[in-house]
This record gives sequence, C-alpha cells and structure tokens, in this order.
Amino acid sequence: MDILEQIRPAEGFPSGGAQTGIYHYDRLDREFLAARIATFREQVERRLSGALTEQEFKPLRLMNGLYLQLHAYMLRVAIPYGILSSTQLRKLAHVGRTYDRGYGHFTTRQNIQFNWIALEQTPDILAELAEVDIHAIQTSGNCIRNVTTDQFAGAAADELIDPRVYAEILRQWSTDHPEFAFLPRKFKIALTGSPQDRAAIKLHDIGVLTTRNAEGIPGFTIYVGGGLGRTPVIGVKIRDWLPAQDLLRYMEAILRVYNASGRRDNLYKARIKILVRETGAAKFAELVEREFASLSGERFALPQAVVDTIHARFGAPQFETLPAQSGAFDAAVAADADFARWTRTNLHPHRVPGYASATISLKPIGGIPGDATADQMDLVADLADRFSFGEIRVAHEQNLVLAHVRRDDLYELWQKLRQPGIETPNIGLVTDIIACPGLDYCDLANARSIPIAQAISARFADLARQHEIGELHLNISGCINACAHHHVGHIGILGVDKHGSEAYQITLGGAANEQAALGQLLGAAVPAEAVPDLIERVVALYLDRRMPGERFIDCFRRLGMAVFKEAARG
Amino acid sequence: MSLSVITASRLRDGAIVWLTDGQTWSTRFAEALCLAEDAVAQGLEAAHAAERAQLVVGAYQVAVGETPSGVLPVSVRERIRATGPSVRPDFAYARAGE
Repeated sequence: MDILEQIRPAEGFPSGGAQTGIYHYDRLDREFLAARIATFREQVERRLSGALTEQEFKPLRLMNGLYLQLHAYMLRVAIPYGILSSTQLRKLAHVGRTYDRGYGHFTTRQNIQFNWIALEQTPDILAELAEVDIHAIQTSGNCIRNVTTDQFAGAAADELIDPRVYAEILRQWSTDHPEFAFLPRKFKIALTGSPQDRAAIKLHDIGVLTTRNAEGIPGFTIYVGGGLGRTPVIGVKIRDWLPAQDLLRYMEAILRVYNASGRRDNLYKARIKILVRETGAAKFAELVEREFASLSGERFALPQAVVDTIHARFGAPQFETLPAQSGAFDAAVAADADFARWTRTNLHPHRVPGYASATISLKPIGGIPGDATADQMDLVADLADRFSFGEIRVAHEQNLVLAHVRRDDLYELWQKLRQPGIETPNIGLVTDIIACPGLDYCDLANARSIPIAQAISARFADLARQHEIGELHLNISGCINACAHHHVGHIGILGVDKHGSEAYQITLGGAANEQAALGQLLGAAVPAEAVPDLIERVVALYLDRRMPGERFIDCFRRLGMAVFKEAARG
Repeated sequence: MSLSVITASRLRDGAIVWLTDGQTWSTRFAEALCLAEDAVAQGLEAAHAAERAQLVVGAYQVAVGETPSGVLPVSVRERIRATGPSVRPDFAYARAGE
C-alpha cells in the first residue's frame, strides 16, 4: 500500500475568518465515514435481532468507540489531536443534550466520552457526528489510537514546527491502516512541536519531540516504549534526530517491528514497552533502524508539497498586527485582582505579538474533573467564535483552550467566563486535578476517583492558598490501568481494592514533562477519608521547607522521599 | 444464609437491570428477586435464556446483605450499580424514571 495515497490535494479550503485551524474534510473523507456508519448500523441491527452474538459483536462496537460500562454504553468520540471547531463543539453539546444526560466528559486522550448512551441510538449519533466531520473510529481496540499533541499547537511561542500538521498526517496514515488494524495491543502516539514537552510524550508507545539538529534544522527526537498501567515505564530515546520528511517512514518501521515481535499470548505483556524491555533498547533501536533502511526513502518520504497541502487544509487565522503589550490588558490587571489572578495561571504565551492562549478550567472547586455540560459547551463555542477564530482545544489535562485570543480582549473573555464550572483560576495548581471516571462509571475500576478529587479540591478551595502553593500536579486513577496518569503526578493517587474496601495509595515525585519520572510510594494504602489530611501534611512540609521560588516537584527532588514519609506519618 | 440477586445490562440501551420474581427485568434494584443459595442456578438459567432472547447481556450473580438501609449489594461496585454514581445519584435509573 502506498502510505501517501490517502493524502489528497487541497481544494480551496478557507483561509482567515471563522473556523480556521481545523483540518477540513473533503468528499472522500465524508464518503469513508458514511460507509463506516452504514456498516455499523447494519451490525447493530444484526446484534439486536440476534444474528450476531455479543462475543461476535463486541469487537465491532469497540472499533466504533462503543464500550459497555458500569451503568450503560459509553461512546468515546475522537477529537483528533484535541482540536475542535465551534460547530463541532456545538454538535457534541447536542449529542450530550439529546442522547445522554446533558453533559460530556473530556479525557486525558483529548477525547470526549458520553456515559449514558443507548446501543440502538448509536448509529444515529455517529451519523450526526459525521455531519460535522467527527467520528469514534479507533478510540478503542488494538490499533493506533487518537494521536495527541500539545494543546497550544500552532500558537505556542516556543514552537519549532506546527505539530497539528504531522499529527494529521499520522491520523490519515493510521486510520484503517490494513497492516496495523490488529496490533498485539493498543498503541498510543504523542507529538509535541516544541522542545518543551506538553504532551507527556515519554509516557506513550511512541513519543515524538521536536528538536533542532546541529545545523539548527527542526526535526524529531523519537522515544519508544513509554506507558503507564500495571507496568509503568518511561520511554527510551531511540533516535536523537529524525528529518521531518522521514516521520512516516520511521513510524512504519517501529510499528512493523512491534507488529512482528510483540507478544500476543499475554494481555499484560503485549504493549511495546514490554518488547523494548525484553529486547533491550539498543537492540530494539537496531531492529527499527534496519527496518527503516529497508523502506524505500523515495516511496515513504513525506514530500514537502504534501506537508504544505495538509497545512493549507487547516486554514490560516488572519492575525492582526498588534503591539506585544496591551494597554487595556495591563489596566484591567491593575484594576481587578480577580482577573489578575486568572491571568497568572490560565494564560500561555502566543507566538504572535498581542495574542495569548487562554485555558478554560473544567476543574471547579468540588466539581467533577473534565465534565462539561451541554450549555457550557455551547457557551465555549460562542466564545471561540467571538474571540478565537472559532476553534477550541482539549488539553490532556482535561481543560479547554481558546488558543488565539487578542490580549486586548482577555478581560472581556474572562468576564464572560465568570460562570459556575468554567471560571476557576487554577491551571497547574493543586485543584487542577486529573481524574479518571473511576468506579462511579468505569467497569474496570477498583475504587472511586471523583469523590477523592472533590474532597481534595474542597480542602484546597482557598484560591489565595492555591496560588501560594503554586504549581502542583495531582492525578487520581481508580485502578492500575492509570487513565489519569497517576504515576506521573507530582502527587499521584491510585485507588485499590483492599479486602473489599476502597483504599488509596499515594505516590510523590512523578512528572510528565521532558524530565518525566515515576512517582515513589509514600506508604501503605489509606481509606478515602484519610486522603485529604495526608495530602495536607505533604503540602505543609513543602511550604515549610521550600526555597524561595522552588516548585513542589523541585523541593521533593531536593529533600527526598524519606523526609516526606516522615511528615506523612503526622 | 447468603442471598443473591441476578443482574445484567439491557441489550438495547445498556441499562442495569435486575431479575424480578416475575422473571422479568427491572431497572429498580428494590424489585430484584432475592435468591437463596440453592435457587441461584435457576435464576441464572432464566438470565441466560434472556441473553439468548437478546433482552440482556452479561448476566451474573450479585451477593446482597441486610444493611440499615435495607437489602443492598455487598460490594461497593454493585452498590454503585444499584444506586447510581455516588457523585450523581440523580442519574440512577430508578430516580431518572427509566
């Protein structure tokens, strides 16, 4: 198969105005989706009639993102690399309102899940989603899952390349790739466009970090074998620098080695991390390089024209020429302390002078991390149209982002965000908790996550105190599958089943960025009611012992675990 | 004496259902038929027949016991299934009127 055959020329896609920044489908994309939905509709009918058994039907529904969870079917909808148009977000709101219970849950894979879906309505839901070019394909199963990237892609000041373009190329390459549809296990790729890792790349089966070579040319550093779950592993570097044009060729090589040699006899040893560990990183890299060399550079290299074509199909926001400083912004910061506090945590530098990226927190105090009501989704869509070229990003931390806001408009945006559920100035702080659905919704969970997140959030509700504590990443998973990435939280919490009761293990010192690290166990698992006090003691020690300006994670690394263990004993 | 109920997911919409004494399926846990140990096999047989009839999927037995709030499943997981998500009890099938 020609890996480039799916990538087609642009046909006059928009530039400037509303809803740029979104990859625009063409006729073939839509025909493909329509055919998939027709097939699934027929499969659902056959299941309901009894022509298909549950055993036969399960892999078919999973290929379309439909799980049978604790309370109902759950539909996981793909948001490619976390980018949505306002039209798409309104459609998700409509699905939540019409087919679910008025809300959706944004995930750490930058997707959205609906928890109360009826099987018999799913083909209609998929047809509605297809009207706005979204789907649920490859959000489950042993295939290449939604490629994730930096939520500030195409906007960040430190970006070397636009990762959306390469993420879209990977999406097209991996969608229905015949060779990689039945891998030994699921496969996750993350890509970031700057040397600062905001996409947790070292925790993925393949992590792609953009770096410059000695000549200053941007390309990719490649990591493999990262992953969490029951065997947490930090990915290892197998290529210092790869020319951008060889990205697909190298991906193809890694996947071929994994597909041929990954274990299929044991579910728990089937991920690429186990293959890399058992083969040895150096030997694995050698196998990949050998496969890479065997692939024709002429056939597999990405022509610049193709890259340019993909880039063009995102459209280009027409930024105004503005001064870097905004008088209106500075005056509002000086006059309104609440706004000033929000700007300290919820803004990110933009590459264009006079603009900033604004994060909308989905972590209200005492709320459910990552949940958004249909009304909130509609509001954010309206704000995206008004302030950010009609596009929205989903961060893997389960928040939403308006990537391109004029600094002059930030005060007005913030005033419109001052509504329950989306106003919290807490990005990167202790209440910006990443949490999986846990035992309240998930069939795999051992313990609840959300009530623990709510209790900790309530304990640290005081905003002044949160800002005083500073950057502190807290992640809570309800089982060892680690959907909330608890291993790499500065503070990680894992729910376990202890003799039939819920209990929680706490780890400290994890990190998901370019200094990725796995957390160390603080002690024995404790009951739910003891968790907030334990976190309190850990934070109190940090506040007591930190150096001026020292972040929690740096303080932990300096002091070491023994000091924190002592403090945890109370 | 240990008691059990039989549960499953309704095929067409995934709703949690409980086998009743009329050999039908209810979304209300309060209507679940409590079975003594020697009656469980018969209950499961009825459940598997319902699976074959495309009514339910994934039927199994759940241990229940007396609590101050009446008979409830013993495990946390099954209590959450019976009473709805602890963080959104209003979503429980019985309360949502389904």
